[in-house]
Amino acid sequence: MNRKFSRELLRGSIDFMILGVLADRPKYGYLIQQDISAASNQRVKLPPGTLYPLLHRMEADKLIRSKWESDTGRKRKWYEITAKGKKQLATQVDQWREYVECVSQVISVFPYPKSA
Amino acid sequence: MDQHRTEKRNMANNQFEKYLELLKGFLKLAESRKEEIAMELRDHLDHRMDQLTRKGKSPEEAERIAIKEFGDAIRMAASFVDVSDFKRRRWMMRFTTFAIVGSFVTALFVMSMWPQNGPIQVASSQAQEETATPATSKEKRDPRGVIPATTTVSRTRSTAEELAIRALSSEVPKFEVEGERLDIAIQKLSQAARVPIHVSKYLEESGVDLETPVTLKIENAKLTTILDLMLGDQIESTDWDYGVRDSLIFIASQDNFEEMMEVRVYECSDFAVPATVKSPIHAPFGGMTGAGLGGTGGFFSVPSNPRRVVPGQGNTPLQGSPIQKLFRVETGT
Repeated sequence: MNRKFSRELLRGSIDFMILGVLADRPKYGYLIQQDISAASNQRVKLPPGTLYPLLHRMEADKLIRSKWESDTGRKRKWYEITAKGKKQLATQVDQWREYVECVSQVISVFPYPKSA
Repeated sequence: MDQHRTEKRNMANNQFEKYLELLKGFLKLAESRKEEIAMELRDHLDHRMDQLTRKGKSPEEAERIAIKEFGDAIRMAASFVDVSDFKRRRWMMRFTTFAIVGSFVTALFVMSMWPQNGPIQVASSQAQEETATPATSKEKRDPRGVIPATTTVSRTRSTAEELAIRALSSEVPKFEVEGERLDIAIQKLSQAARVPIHVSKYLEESGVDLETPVTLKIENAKLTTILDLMLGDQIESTDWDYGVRDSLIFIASQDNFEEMMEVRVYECSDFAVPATVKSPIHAPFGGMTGAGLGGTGGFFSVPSNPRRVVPGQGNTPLQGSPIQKLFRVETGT
């Protein structure tokens, strides 16, 4: 089973997935998109129309910062995680694990219809 | 490499530039900011086209797919504008918060510096100073021992008067003298009541013997009661009176008080309308109680004591005074 996730399910977790892929080193938009796609086994694909406004919002929230660099003569915008972003990532990862565990527990208690 | 990408994009009819122009048209942002966004999106497109052409797509097909992935230009523009609005709203919220906090702090500062609050401490310290060094206060008076009348009524002075008035009607927990000279007894009373009491040196000339031995033992009595008991019951002369002048309780002869009489003019509405009453102090000598006007004295300092009655002497110092004439003050005699 290799289905994509619904937009509603992704809504609350995209920002911390972005923080997650930026945790190791600075990346530019396309690389962030590709890393998330690869890490999720192609199940999470962020379209540019979602990715870039979100990056700009996270930058406004000071979770990430950006800088323009010219490699091979072309200007490129690189993003890196801030100390505030790292702190939020740690908190969100813990919360997310607890949430997944909680949801799993709830749905294991009650029978639910199997999808076709 | 970048030149190669650009050539490929140019070859593909440059549809993406039209997309960017459309996007920029809907971005309500500064021109530099629009160009930054366009530059970032171009970089993304180049990467994506590279990836697609590597998979065998033609440049035209690659660009078509890439542009389709970007989605609706209007929706993307709205998302960017949302971010910009969010930043603006947050800035406004911070500014408003700062302005409110700043205004509050300023208001607190102004209130703390307001003459009504600030000088109260000055008045208190003045009162303490006078308690500690009565001689210094005495030096400020003229050689006849009369406090010079002043026509300027400052709030500070008024507050000092109020404090002394309060002291007159406050209870003294314990006062005990046995065979003490009158002047020493008054000094002890001053300490017990924590209020400066000044005895005019001309009091003796009016027949009051300051060496008269006084014996009194009393608890929880008002200062006025103690003064009445000490002076009225134990001193033969009746030519004495007490009143408040600035922060001082002043004991002097009737003549002294007449000379230092100060006339202050107040609007009658101040007395008639309760809302304008500035002090709830029940003046021990104000004479307004008998006038049926609310019993709120303390606005004026009249150096007489109509409440004090010396039996058989008909001591009515307010008779004939301007206050008496204006308000028909009943002295209670």
